[in-house]
Amino acid sequence: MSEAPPSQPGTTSTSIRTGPSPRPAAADPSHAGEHDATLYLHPQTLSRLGTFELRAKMIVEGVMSGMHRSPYKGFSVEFAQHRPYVAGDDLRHLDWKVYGRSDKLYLKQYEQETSLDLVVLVDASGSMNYGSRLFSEASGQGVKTSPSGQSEWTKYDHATATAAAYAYMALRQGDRVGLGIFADALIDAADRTSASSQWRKIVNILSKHPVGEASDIGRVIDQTLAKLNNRCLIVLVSDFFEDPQRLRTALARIKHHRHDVILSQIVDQQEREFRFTDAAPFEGLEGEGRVRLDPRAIRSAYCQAFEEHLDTVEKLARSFGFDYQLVDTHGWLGPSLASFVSRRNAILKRTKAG
Amino acid sequence: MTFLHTALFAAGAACVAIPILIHLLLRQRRKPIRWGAMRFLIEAYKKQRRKLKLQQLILLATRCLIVFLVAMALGRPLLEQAGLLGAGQGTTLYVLVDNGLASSARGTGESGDSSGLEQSKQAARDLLRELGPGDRAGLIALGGPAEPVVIPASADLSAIASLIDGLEPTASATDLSGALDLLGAHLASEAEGESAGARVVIAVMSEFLLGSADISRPLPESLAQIPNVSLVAMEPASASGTNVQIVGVEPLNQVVLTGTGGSSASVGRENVRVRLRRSGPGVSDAQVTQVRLRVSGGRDSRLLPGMQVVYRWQPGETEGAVTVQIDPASGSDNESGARSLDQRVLVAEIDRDTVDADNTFRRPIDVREALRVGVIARRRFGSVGGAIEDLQPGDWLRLALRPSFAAPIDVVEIDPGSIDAPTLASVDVAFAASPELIRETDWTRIAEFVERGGLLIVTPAPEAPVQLWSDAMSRELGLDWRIAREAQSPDGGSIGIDPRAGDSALLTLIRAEIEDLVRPVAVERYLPIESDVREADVVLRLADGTPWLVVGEPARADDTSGVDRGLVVYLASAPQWRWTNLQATSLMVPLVQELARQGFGRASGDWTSVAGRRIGAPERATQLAPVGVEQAPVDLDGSGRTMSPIRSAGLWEAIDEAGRVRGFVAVNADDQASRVQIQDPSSVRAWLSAAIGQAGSGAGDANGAGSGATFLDPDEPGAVFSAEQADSPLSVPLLIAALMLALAEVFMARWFSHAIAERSEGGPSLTESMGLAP
Repeated sequence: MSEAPPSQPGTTSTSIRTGPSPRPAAADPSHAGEHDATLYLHPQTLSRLGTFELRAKMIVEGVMSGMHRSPYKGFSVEFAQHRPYVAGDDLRHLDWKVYGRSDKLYLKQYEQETSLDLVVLVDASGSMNYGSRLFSEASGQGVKTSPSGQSEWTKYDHATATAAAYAYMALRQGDRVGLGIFADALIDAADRTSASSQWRKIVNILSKHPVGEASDIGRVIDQTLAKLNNRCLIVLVSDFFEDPQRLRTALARIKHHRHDVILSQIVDQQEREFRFTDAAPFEGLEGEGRVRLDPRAIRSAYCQAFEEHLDTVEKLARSFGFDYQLVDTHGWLGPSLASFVSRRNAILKRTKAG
Repeated sequence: MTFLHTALFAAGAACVAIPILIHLLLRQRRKPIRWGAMRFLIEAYKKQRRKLKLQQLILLATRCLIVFLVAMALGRPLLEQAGLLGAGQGTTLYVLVDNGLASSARGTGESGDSSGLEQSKQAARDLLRELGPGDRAGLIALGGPAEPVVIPASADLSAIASLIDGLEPTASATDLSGALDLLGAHLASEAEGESAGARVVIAVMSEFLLGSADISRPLPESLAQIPNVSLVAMEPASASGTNVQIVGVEPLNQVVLTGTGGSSASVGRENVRVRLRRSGPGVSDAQVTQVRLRVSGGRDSRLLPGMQVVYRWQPGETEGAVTVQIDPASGSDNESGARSLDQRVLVAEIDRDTVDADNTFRRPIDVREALRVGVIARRRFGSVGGAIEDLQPGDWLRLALRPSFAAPIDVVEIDPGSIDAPTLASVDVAFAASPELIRETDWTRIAEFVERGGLLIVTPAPEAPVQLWSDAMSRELGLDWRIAREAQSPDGGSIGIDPRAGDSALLTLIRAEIEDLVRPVAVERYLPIESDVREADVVLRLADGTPWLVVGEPARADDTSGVDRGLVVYLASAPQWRWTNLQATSLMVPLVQELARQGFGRASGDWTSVAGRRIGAPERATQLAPVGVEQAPVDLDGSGRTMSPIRSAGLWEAIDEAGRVRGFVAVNADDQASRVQIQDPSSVRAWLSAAIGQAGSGAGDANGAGSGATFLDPDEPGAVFSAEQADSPLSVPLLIAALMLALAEVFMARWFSHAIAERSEGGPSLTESMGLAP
């Protein structure tokens, strides 16, 4: 990876790594984001991602020109076609010349080059604070604990790394990127922009710690959609430990607003495999209380319930035509992102060809 | 249910709490795991909760049961005793409590002044408490003769415990042999019945002092053939006190003759010898024993002045005797009517020591005005006189019996041809000087006379060439003598008397002068006893050793009364010139007088018996009533003896149908039963082991896990019930069950926790890798 994020060129080439939730440096707050940004993207990740072009699934209306193609016929510089007028259409777009020649009302339509509006929503609920992977192993640089003193690489760490990767890629493309951190509501957010300061702002927001509340994606989506006036690509990074019905409702609203969504579900390997052997009390991270049980005895039922939930989330995403990616905190971030972008490009090509 | 090791079982049973404690402790100490996907965990838990609870309960119960079974196995439950293996198959315990005389010895145990009997009773009660509801128990009191208190065994253990509490020490010897015989016969009969195969434990509760257990006399092997019998016993006493006992009270004259109108003044004082014996650890020391002798009229008695003497034991001395002078006629004029009986009771006493019952000795003694002697001889008509050569044996006897008018002997002439019962009943002694004239039927009457306590003195018929009368006499009197039918003459014409007189008590008073008295006696003819004669029965011998004066006791149908009554004295030469010159020597009068007096005293019996026997009573008595004790009279059977043995020492009045006192009978402690020497435990064990037909190692292991008798562990008496069951099959099944259950627990634990599948996937547990495992 030889390129740095747009706002901080040259800063990631030597110190970018995957790591825990970043913190602003206490000694020099003005450089905190710059420094912390390097924590999210491992050099391996960025080098892999640099070979791909991030192509949005859809062409959105945007102020930036780019490589994205919009399916909408807008009102930009390149004419596309005419269509009959129907009541309610904006009269400003009538082709008066055609009307003069044929006495028929047609509207002019233009094909525009668009840029991508990327909104990344990162789950910071209590359940995201779980991790079974050692920090020293995940960091890849021999650091044993996070700056906060945690020795585990949590799902939130992984989620923020994922979000940073998306943001980095989009900013490098010149797209507008917005960010939200949420639990039961939006905790913090950065409005969409492609400004050079956006990367630092995003990094600052990602440094927020997870909280102990349960997530409420429906409410968060409502809050987010209220701020979006154009179609966006929304990336939801969460463990989606949510009631599937409420998740369905939230996704339906997004679909209704014609946004595209990527669901990036972060799970810990231990959560999937549940390889505990000794009876112990389990205490919920979102205030569910404590239950004492023999893990070996309950493992089968648990794994079944967990896998069913993963399957449900994936099916929900597929049912709305959204993309879904299952991210394991024990895997490197880079390969999963590369695989995701590769798959996305293949889909786009098939769409254009068709 | 009882256990071989109750403490082990209790400790093991307490360990049942260990799995529960482990569960509770680990529950509290385990570090909680903070978990994100809690909703799925709770969802899975809710689905599995009931099943998991059930599995956990099963596992917990299994683990507790394993511990409990191990505890049971360690505790060695005796299920047969609880009757769990079938009715009647429990253990039958026969408790043989030694309440013999030695059991009353104090200071033999660690508990100070308590007697051996008290300790035996306590041990018996402890043993009974170890029995379960399916067990039975029997009780035999060993105070001789052995008394089957509860035979056959009963399941009412509390009643047996009460009976044990009520046992009192007897004055008789411990009769373990009798008890084992009794038990052997009972068990042999039971072995053929429903109780066949049941386990039998015989517990001998005794301190095994020498008086209780004479290990030089082997026990009967009556239990050797009985299966499933084990014998346990208390540990022999390790210490004892010193005991002094009165072995006997012996007046020199069995019968005190006061003479016509006699009184104490005319009779004078009688010498009474009191024999003493001591045993125990103090024998090696010097000791002083004060002996008091009193004359009792029966219910009332008083100690006369001057009747106390002191005996000083020398170190190492075990036998001693003192002579006390008393006035036997002093007695007391009391309200009991004993005055009319001409009978007194000599009571000797010493100070209280280890054993009390042998510190008093009672001895009835006859006090009479005169002795009535019947002379069965051909009656001569006319006065006795003329040539001395013409005097017949009867004449000589009359003269010897009544040499003067003051002699306290009345002579009654009895015609040999007309011997009748009333006549015989009126005399004390019968002299048969003309036995050839006595009809055979009359020998029967004479035999009855002897059996009632009469003395018969027989001399050969002086004129008969062939003596045929002896056959009838021997037959009717039950003597084992075979007297020659023809008289013999010694070589050389005559023979003297061996001056070495026998030890017979008949000549006690003249023993000092006997050598001088017999020297002039010459025997020219004699009618010898051809059969063997016991040495003790020979009073005088000829110089060639031929028995010349012999005593014999008539045979009795039952000689268990303890009172030797009736005596026959045979003088082999008739007091007649052609036979001997005895009648003309100075031996004649004292010999005849002593034969009559001492012989009668011996023949009439001393009415002294040893505790533990059926005792006889004087004629016409129907009951025996204890003197000085609140106790019901004892009925007598047709033979004049008590129907059951008298085990306690004391004085009894013989009462006839009219309620009159016919005499006294004294029951004294068995002198052999009060020996208090301790004995070697290994020897006692070997002695006991022989009773059940097992060798029983005489040395070393006193508790003998091997064969033979075993000693009770006072701290764990119940161990004996399974000591002989060292290889009891009960523990093995329990251990196997515990092992099987443990295996089942392992599989269940793995199965319930799905550990098998997990292990097959490999890898360490994550809790371990994360440092969360304890």
